[in-house]
Amino acid sequence: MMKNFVEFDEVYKRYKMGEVTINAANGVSFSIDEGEFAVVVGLSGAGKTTVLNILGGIDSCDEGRIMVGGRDISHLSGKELASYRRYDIGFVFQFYNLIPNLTARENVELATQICRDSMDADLALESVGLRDRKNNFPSQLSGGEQQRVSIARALAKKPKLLLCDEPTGALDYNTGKSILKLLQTKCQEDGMTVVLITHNTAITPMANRVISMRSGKVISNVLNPAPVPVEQIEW
Amino acid sequence: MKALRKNVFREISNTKSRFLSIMAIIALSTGFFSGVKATSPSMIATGKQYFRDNNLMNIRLVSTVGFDDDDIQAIKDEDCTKDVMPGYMSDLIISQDNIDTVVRVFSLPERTETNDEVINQVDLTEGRLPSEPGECVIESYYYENSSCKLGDKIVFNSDVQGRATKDYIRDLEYTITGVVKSPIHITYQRGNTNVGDGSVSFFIMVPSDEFVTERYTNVYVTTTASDASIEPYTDEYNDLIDTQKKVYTELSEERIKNFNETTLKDAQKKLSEAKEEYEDKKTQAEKELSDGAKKLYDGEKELQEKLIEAGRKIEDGEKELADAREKLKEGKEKYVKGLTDAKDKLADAQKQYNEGLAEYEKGRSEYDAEIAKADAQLTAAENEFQTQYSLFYSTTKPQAEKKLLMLKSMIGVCEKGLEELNKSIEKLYDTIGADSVLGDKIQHIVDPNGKINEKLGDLQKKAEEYERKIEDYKKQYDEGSKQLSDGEAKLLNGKKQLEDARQKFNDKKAEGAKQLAQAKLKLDDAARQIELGKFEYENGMSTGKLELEAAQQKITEGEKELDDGKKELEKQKTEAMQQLKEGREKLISGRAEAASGLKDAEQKLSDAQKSIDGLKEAKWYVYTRDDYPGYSTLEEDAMRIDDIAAVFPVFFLLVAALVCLTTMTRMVEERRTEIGTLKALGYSNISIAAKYFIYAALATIAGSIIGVLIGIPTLPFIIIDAYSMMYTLPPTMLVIPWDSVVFSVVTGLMCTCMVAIIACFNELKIKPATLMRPKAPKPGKRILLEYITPIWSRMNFTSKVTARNIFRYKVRFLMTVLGVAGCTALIVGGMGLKDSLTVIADRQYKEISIFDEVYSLSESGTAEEKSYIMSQFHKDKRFSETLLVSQHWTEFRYDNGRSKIEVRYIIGENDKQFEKMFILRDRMTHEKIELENSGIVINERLGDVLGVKAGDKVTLTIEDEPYTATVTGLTENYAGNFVYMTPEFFSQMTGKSMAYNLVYVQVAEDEKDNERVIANEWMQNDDIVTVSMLNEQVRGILDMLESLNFIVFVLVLCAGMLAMVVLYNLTNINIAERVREIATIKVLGFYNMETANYIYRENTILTLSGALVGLPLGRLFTSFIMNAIQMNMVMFPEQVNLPSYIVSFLLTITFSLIVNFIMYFKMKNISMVESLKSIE
Repeated sequence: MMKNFVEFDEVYKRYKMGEVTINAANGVSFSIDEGEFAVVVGLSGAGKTTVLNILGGIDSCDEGRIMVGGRDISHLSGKELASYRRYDIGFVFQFYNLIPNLTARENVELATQICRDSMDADLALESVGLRDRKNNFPSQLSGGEQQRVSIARALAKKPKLLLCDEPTGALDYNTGKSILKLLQTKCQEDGMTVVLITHNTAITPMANRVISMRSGKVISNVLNPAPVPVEQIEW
Repeated sequence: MKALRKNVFREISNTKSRFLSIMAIIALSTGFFSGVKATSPSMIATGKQYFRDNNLMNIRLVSTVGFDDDDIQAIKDEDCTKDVMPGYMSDLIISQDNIDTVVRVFSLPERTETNDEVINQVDLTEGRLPSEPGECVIESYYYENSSCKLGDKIVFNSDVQGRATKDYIRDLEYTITGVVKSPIHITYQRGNTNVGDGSVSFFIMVPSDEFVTERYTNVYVTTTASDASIEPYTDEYNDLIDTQKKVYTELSEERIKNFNETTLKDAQKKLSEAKEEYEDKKTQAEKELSDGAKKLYDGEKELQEKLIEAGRKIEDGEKELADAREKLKEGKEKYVKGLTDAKDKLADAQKQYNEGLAEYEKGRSEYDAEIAKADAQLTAAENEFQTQYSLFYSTTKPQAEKKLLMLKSMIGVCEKGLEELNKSIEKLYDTIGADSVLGDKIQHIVDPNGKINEKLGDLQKKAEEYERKIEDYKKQYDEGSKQLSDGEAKLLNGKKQLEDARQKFNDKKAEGAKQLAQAKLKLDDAARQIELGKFEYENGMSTGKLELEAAQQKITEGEKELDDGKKELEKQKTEAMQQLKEGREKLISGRAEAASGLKDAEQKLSDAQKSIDGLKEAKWYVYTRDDYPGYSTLEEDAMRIDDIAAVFPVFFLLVAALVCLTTMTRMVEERRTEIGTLKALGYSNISIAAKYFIYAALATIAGSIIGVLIGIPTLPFIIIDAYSMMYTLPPTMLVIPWDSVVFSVVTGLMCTCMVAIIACFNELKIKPATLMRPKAPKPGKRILLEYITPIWSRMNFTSKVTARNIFRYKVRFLMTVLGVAGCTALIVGGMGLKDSLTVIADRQYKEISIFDEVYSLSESGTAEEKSYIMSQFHKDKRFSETLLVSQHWTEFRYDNGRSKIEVRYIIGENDKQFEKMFILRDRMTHEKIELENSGIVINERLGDVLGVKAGDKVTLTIEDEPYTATVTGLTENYAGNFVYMTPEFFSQMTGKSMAYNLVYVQVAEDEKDNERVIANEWMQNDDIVTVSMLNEQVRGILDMLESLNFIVFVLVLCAGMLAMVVLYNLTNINIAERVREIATIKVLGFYNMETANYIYRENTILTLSGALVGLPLGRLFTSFIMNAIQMNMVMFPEQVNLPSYIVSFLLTITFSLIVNFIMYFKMKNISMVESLKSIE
């Protein structure tokens, strides 16, 4: 297990909104070890999504250095970033972002067909407990199920890093919990490094590492020696 | 409300590309529509203004006999006449590249005492008007399309169709000083003429005093129809002109009558006088000729007689000569024979002589040999003898004598011895005594004892021996002596014998010699004889030869004399003949001269008679503006453009409307949340909808303004400029078609604003709460294709995704396909328009009307004259087919008699040739249509206009007489309307005889280049009035098509631009709708190209489908256009060629590719972060 698998070093990200410059990331530094379940918490606008986007290669930083698995991704070109996303990153969004026109299985296939070493789509769906729903369109699935498809899509690529942006934000309590459980299981059983951002501090006990952010800065980066299984967490 | 207004502008700036694309579509369609719509009125207006500014005549009068001042005054006196301007016109010939080219020379329009304003005022575009004699101005159309320059000279041939050019105008050379445009020649067409090759190449204008013609040829009239209140090209104008035309026609009859009574009578009288004079001269000439003929006859006779006499003399001479020649021959033979005989004799003699000589020689040699032999023998004998002799005397005799002497001595000795002995014996005897008896006694005595006997016996014995010896010696001696004497005798004898022999030999020799001499003598004599003979022979030969030569010479001389005589005769004869021949020729030429002179005179008289006859048929032609091709074609062309404008831009607008509709609907749908929010805030429906209405209105109005501002000032100029190849009009006057502008703007507004409002109100019906929630994305659905497992299972993942996406948004799918199809159809339509029009020229003149030239015969010719002309046409091998045709006008009424149409009917004299030049066939099946004796065949278009089918009966009016005929077939024909029938049917129908007036010809394949030359030659024929060449017509049509090309280009360009905007817009909507999807797949790690392809695959399929649908649609559209521009006169075929389809298809694909290229960047710039943030 690689230490400092993910490493942010003084990362800045500024948005210009007219004459106002917003520092979405204002010197962010942290590191995550491989195989950890890291949770980034903070209020809206704390810069956690920015950090996640930069880490996921869908946004770029203005300053600083980001190392993932020993590779500097802060200066990759558009095409290199696309490859990075393709082979190294799995993304799970709050709103699932499934292609409505594709069935669950096809949504997974959409990801697998562009990867070199991908999981079988059926297998991926099975692993998220959706064996029987694989031929359904997103509109025919519940939110939790859609999120599972989304996770299956991310996992099927066999990424080095699973990034989850408020995956439970649009789900009800129980469904959210089951999704978190799924993610935790994936991390613990398959050794997948998971970075999850949420505004919900209640779920921090389930993480190996908790990174707190405020105003574009990391204010704490704490290791949790004994993560609690999700089932035991209530919020 | 302020916030709302702000909202509108912010909306615009936020969705610039949508706003701009709506604006662009509206601009394109309104601009195109109003621009094309402005073309036709601008064209007409330009024409009208031009005609008014240049005071174009309303009526033109042309007379076969010209006009005089009285005529002009009479015309002026008509009530409807405003102005009258008389003028001149002549068709003259110049030689251009050795080809006779017809130039029409007009008098420059000018002020005369009869007109206040110049009629048909020309516009000087370059140079100056003529100011000196020998100057002219040239028309601008020709000037611009040829190499001629100002200062060039127009040099006329010295005569035109047998008349001197100077009979028409003053000079043969005119210098070009300027270039003009004339309102009566606004097209490239220059009309036909009855000189040269029958077509006028260009015209020039000279001041009217350059013309030497007495009477005016043209009269230009402006009438009350040119009042400012009356617009040309209107029914009002046309009706007025129709009435006025009648007025002038009536006037013309009156004037002609007057002409016949005055001018004509004088001419007839003059002609009669001339005829009398001609008769006198003819008689005189004939008398002179007959005198000449008599003299010639006498001369011939004399020559004949003299010739006969000379012939006889020559015959005598020849006979004498022949005799002499005969004699000479005989002499020669004799001479030769004599000579031969003599020669033979001589040869014999010579031979004998030779033989004699040989014999003699032989004898002589023998004799010589004998003599020599004998001589030798003799000499030998003599020598022998001599030897013997000398031997005898020298040896034998002395020896013998010596012997004898010896013997004598011996005898003597012996005798002495014996005497002594005897003495002794005697002694002894004596002694002994006695002699004989002594002897024995002696012996005893001598031999006293016996001894003396013995001795005497001995001595006796000795003495006996002596005695025997003497005896012997004596005998020997005797014998010797005898021998000697014998020898001597023998010698003597021998000598004698020798001498005898010698004598004999000598005798013989002498005799032989003598004989030889005699023989020699004889031979010599013979030789002499031969010599003599030879001499005589030679002498005889030479003398004979000489004689013969002399005779020969005489003959030669005789021959020469005869020859000379003959030559002399021949010479004299030739001279005489020559003289006679000259005389005869003189007579003949004199006769011919007289004949031609007479004929000329006769011709002149008959010409004069003809022209007087022609004058009797004098006629005025009253022409209106419509008779100038440019005037009416301008309107027709303008109408056609307007027809095209009625179809094309409307279709254009339709496509644009469709796209705006989609766009606006989409926009309202996108703003669903906002609408919900506003509604929740309590805004009224109207104020909510106002935003979209204003947005749409702004886009539309801005687009319209831009479109109209660009379209109207450009398109009419572009299109009219394309037509400027055919028209020489002044710069275009722009007329803004307000109605069309309003129409297009209103249409645009309807499409955008109405749609916006309707869509908006549709949304507003929903409760605000629902509205505020995002509209659930359209759920994915299984598409039909998925149930067809064999296909679906074989498709790869991306194809499946694409297929499902395509069918997911059915409306967008339909809109895109229709939009693209519309654009493709527009392009196909443009190309099809050209293809179809090209077919007219191609089919009409290559497949249907297969003749090259049409000659018109003079009306006055009789049937015999026409058949004579036809036989000449038949003989001309440069024509592959010739056909005599009767072609006149007939009239049909249709629309229940309300409308009429004038049509030419064509009757070919000969079926076979008719079928070769006029192909009657069904347009669709190309099946041949037989021309039967039971009815008429009309062309398809005419059938359409009249509304008749095969088998229907129609009424046609020929020379005001109505006839009914059955239509037996409708034939394919594009340009013009025709009725075809057989001569039999015509006679049967009308009961009239045929009036053939045209000759249609096909020029042989290898003579096609010489068409003009052939036409030129035929035009020399007095019976041919005009010729029209099909080539020229085809060229005209091709010119028109050329100008069409450009219009098609503009159409295609506009359609292409529309296609681009449509595709852009639709792709834009597609992307906007799926931006989240696109962002998602980008996040998944799709590369830019992969992402683009995710969208393009659909786009490409939609475009291809659209383009494919557009092709048949374009075909339909072409039919639609062709129908819209249909004219009574022309049938427009509908045809789209394969290349047009291909080009249209490829163009659409190209536009789509361009759009895709632009879209690539848009897609590349989709921000994943922004798109995925959250759903609003």
